Amino acid sequence: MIYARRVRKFTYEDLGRTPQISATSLSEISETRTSLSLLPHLREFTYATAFPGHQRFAVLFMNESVRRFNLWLDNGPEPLRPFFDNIPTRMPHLTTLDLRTLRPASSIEEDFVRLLREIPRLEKVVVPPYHITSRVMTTLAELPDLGVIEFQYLVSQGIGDKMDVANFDPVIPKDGFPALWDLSLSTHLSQFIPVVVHALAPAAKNLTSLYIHAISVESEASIRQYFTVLGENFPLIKSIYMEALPGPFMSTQWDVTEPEFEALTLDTLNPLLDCPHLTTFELMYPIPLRLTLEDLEILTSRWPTLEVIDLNREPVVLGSAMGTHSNLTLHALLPFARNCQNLRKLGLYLHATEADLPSVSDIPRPFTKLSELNVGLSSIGDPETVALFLSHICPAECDVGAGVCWSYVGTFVDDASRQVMQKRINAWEEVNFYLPLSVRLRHEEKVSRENLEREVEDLRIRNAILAEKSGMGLKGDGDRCIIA
Amino acid sequence: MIASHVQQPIPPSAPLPSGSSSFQPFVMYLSVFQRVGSIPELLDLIFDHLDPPSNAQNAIVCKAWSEVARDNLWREVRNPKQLLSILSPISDLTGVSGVTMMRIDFGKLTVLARVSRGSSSRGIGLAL
Repeated sequence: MIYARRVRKFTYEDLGRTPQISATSLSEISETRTSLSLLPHLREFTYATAFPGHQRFAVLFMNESVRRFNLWLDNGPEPLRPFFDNIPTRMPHLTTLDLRTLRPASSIEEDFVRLLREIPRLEKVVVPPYHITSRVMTTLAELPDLGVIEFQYLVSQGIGDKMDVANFDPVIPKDGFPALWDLSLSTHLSQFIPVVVHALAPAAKNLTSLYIHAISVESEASIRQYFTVLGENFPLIKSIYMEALPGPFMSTQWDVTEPEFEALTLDTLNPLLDCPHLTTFELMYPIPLRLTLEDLEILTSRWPTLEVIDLNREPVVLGSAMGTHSNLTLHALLPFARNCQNLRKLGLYLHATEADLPSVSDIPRPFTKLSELNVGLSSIGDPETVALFLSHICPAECDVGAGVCWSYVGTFVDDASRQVMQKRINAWEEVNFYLPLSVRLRHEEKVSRENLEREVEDLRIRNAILAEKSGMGLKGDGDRCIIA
Repeated sequence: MIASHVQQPIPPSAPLPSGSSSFQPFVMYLSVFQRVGSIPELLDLIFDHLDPPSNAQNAIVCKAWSEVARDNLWREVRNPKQLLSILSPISDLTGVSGVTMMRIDFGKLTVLARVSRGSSSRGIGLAL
């Protein structure tokens, strides 16, 4: 007990080929322990085992002090209900439940829903993708303290079956989700829009963050309609994430000229411009956005509180489409620097070429808080020239990133496209290498220039005073200092 | 590692060496450090930035540090074997089928003896 009472966070992870600790050992501990709570002050408990029969040993470490439970659910044949029954009984004050599994939602839904009902003080629930089904959502709506519903793409989180969320029609009562402020879902927009209008908006008054992963190809009209519904029903929303990239079913290259994709424009985003509190906006779409500099000027002037924005920095441009560049150049950074001084992260798809650099006189005040400029798959000319330009506008600690975060990238990218992607990423890494030194140099030059300017000004004042004295007929006191 | 840099504390009331006015700031420094060191919350914040081996050494500096350092060391346990190793030293044992096993000797530690009271004298086999 001399050590056990100190443990606040315990991770039992045993996912190798052979168990680290045998079932006999765990049984021995359970039989011989001197107190019911092995770790009496435990707050966060993570249990992940891949061995049939080991799941039940999680109860050894469960006790009333646990607030967060992260559970890896294996594919064992054991029935879930007896194990799930232990969770609310032994950890009645649980506030966060993080379920990780490779099982589809349909295979555990019955037991999972029953478990959720038994944890009334739940504040946050985390599940793998495709696990927030209509039934789970309906159950969660009844939890009075639930603030966050999210899914994670991490490999360690597991994944579900997309078919389980193909039909999304939860029943949300008028007083449902009283505390919900952060919601993440995978769904069809066509099914989610009526849910927002008729159920979510009247109930979830506190919702300020919404992440939607569209599980099918969505048209521009559909996305515009969704944004309209959001703007009308959640004018105080702070964070909007729209991932309109379909899932891993893509197995062939896409072309930006494919008729099925219509480019998103400022008109698409227009309904959200009336959300003055927006601090985070992230948009992912298969093809590049069609935005002009004037559009960005309007966008940034309407969202002055922006802290994070990603305007589709990594569209799925592959094959011949890689020769088509973005119509935005490095000029696109200027409206953000001019209007969004709180910006911390900026994601843009650019064509950064030395032939189209803004002149120094056009550059407004530099970013002060920008910590990450992510250019995704942007094309680039000479990295050194680009770095020199960025040194005018970025702070020294700003990190320039490039690349893609499609988790399924390997499934459909051909070798030629991969080479082009790699070349661009390498060039931007070079920019990231040069940038801090360039910024530092500019800063030192600026300080030196300011010192010189001060000295010149000082001399000018002294000279003016001497000239004035001389004009008044006074003798100059050559041995006295003139302190300006 | 903080422990190796700590010198003998000098109480503020201790007489200063005569004619050594430059010694005063050093005393002040120790005095401030002593005050910081006597506040467990501040110590914990400092220990948070250290690695486990350093905190293991801090745990044997003095009684005041020991509690805080041990709290810090054991706050997060990432490995079940780490947890079980506090019950007893774990020794290697080659088991059947070439699987390396570890064995806990219940007889070696009083803590463990207390845990194993009433049970058989067999050790716990931990398959690596």
